[in-house]
Amino acid sequence: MKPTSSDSCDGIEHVANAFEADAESHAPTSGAAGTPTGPLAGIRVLDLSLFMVGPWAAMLLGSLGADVLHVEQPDISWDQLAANVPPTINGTSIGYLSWNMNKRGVGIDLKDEADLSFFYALVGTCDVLITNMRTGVAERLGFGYDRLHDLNPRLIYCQATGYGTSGPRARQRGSDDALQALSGCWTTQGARDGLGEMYRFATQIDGTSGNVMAQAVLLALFARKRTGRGQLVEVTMLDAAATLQTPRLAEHVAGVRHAPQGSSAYCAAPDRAFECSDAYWIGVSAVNESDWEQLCNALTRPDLLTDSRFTNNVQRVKHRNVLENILEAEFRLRPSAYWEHQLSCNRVPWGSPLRWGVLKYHQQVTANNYVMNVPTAAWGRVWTGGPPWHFSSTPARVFGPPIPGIDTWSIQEEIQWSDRMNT
Amino acid sequence: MVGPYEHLSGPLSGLRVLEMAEGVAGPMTGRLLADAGADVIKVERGSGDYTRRWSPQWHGTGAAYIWLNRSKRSIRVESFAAPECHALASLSDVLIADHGEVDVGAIQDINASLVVGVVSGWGVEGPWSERRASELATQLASEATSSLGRVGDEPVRIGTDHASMSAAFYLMQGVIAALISLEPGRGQRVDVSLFGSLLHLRSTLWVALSNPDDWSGFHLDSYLRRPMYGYTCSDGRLHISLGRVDDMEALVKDLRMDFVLEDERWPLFRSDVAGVMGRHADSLHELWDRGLSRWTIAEAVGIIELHGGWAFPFLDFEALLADPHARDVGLLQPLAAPSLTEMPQLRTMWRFSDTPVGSIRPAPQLDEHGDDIRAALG
Repeated sequence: MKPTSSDSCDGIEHVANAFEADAESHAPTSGAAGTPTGPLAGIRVLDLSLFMVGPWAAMLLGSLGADVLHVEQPDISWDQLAANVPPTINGTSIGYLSWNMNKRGVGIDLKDEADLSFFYALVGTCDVLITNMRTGVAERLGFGYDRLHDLNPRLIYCQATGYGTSGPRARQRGSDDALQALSGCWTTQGARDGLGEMYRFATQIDGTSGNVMAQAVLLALFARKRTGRGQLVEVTMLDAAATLQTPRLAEHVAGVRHAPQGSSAYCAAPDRAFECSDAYWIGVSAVNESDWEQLCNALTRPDLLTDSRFTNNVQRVKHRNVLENILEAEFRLRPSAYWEHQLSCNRVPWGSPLRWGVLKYHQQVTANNYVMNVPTAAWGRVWTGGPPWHFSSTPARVFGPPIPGIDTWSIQEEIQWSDRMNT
Repeated sequence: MVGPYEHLSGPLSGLRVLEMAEGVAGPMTGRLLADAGADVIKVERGSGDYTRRWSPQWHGTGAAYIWLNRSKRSIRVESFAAPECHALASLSDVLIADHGEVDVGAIQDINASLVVGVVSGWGVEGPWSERRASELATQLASEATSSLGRVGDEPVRIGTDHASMSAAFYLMQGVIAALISLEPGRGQRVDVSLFGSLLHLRSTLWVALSNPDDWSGFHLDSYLRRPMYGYTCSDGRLHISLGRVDDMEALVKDLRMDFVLEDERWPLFRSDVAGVMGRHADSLHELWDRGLSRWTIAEAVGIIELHGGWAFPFLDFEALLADPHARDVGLLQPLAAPSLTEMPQLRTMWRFSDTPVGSIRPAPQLDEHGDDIRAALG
């Protein structure tokens, strides 16, 4: 067997090395793989998953310091990666680029016998395997849980599906848009008095499902410290989508029938965006009594504090329309700059819409490394989110996605595998 | 059992967690740890977590509180610097705290092995580190609301508390990762913020905005799209995605939408996948609505699937919880334990073959376990 694209990629490899050298001068969490400092240093993950949910989970584990090996078909064309979901950069889906950061690339044809024996050897050296294949496919191809557990009893085998392996929807397609429609999240969002709408940046439930999958792996790794055993862990997008909506679903079970109400919160009031005299919007939240008192101070409306309709949160939610009408009139009297100052001085939680062009250089964002500009092997520098966790002694990292299959040979060397050995 | 702590089942069996947090993000982190089998003691000040007073109320307690704080025990204290807090911290493995509300350094001095998970609004560095935050404030500032509503109109909030929930999902990961790497006597601190969590979840978009070959694709143009309401059938709304349809003309004919073939938009229509990913979905929407409105959801799903397309009904919460699949897998669990805060709950999210989690327990009344815990502390 031959690793992917290596013969055609010498030039690209050279470019990649140049980028790596360049990256070392940047923030410690950026750039090349290097020696991991994260909490999962020493853990190896085999990522067999495609598209977003599984890759996102594995991308997080890589950010936490695990050595993640992302498997692609050796002959895959770059314009087929991540199903070529648009847009592309240099012909490659930005989905592949963003969901496969923090990984090495390995080319394995799981339908090829020689490759399968390499795969089994690799499984013996891994702590975690990530898959999001349809129910039954992995078993048919020879890498179902039972088979791999026999090979490596310490292996944590984590599987994500849309809806689980049993039940009427078990064989249906699980995707972000499908789960948005099915999980009811559209019922709680939309313009005031308008129809409920879907979220147009369709990676919200995919990403959340990936987050749940990463949790499952971490929990099983923690349990293994005590038991010494690996296990099968299953997660579904349905559970992730439902749990993501915990507060709203709890309200529903308690009797609320949600209807879209623009920027207003359901559970507390006042908590919404108001238009200022300069036509800018400002979001203001009073989620508890002290916020409410401070807001009345900021508005110089102490009379509202003694109004019997607004004496506690339940009352304010009940009289939300009256309350919001009063506040709308107040906010319209002055420009946003006045309110930002007034709300800040009174320590009322507030925020206003920012756009990407501002965000990527915003002091609050850069001070916390919340977005990063990362060098890649063949796609130039790209922006992406910085690690969401900041560890005081085991910093996480971010580095660019692999050229598919680029690390196959070095991984074979590391595990001292050669196909001649097996023939 | 170590002092006041109990031993439960699940991957975090034996883990002792102290929660000094309120609202959504911190308590949800504690709940995820409790779901996985940790014993979580929730420390509440004064009249307790403010979500107890959120609307609607369920037998005198906020519904959201009951779901965010299930399977925990509650002790009431005067302040987070009270002697009980320090005594509990010395016996705990993990502390979950709100930034600015707890003297984390003082507690780390008491127990150097502690893993401390801190949730903040904007991040603990930078000019906004001490600024107050909220779900809405961070949704707006991270531009997460730009994928809903219409440009120029009132911003539309993401229905769920996406910033807070995501911060909880990440903080839970960070805490477990820190526990995995833990060296005896050397705990560490993990920080997560609402703002940073939303920015991370939008990573796909940041990559897309870097240097795209072509300014198209749902990751780029969603800002300017009209709201996605789905498509209208005779008995409700439907989401469709037609990437796998080979023969659009045959599908259109089976749906008796022949008028589309005569429409000047047909060249766009025949190759458009519709829905969130359809490049021309906005301008073709009314054609689909006209055609699909003659069919019920079930009929339309049948025909579209026959041609390789995907179609999913818009289910509201009631329909979701009544869905045969949701019932079959037990998505909503009845709670057996008698309590004022007894309320059906979502099942836990992970299925472990070797370390299964135990049953869900009710959320606590304020100080419900205070006497027991204080007695065990001696």
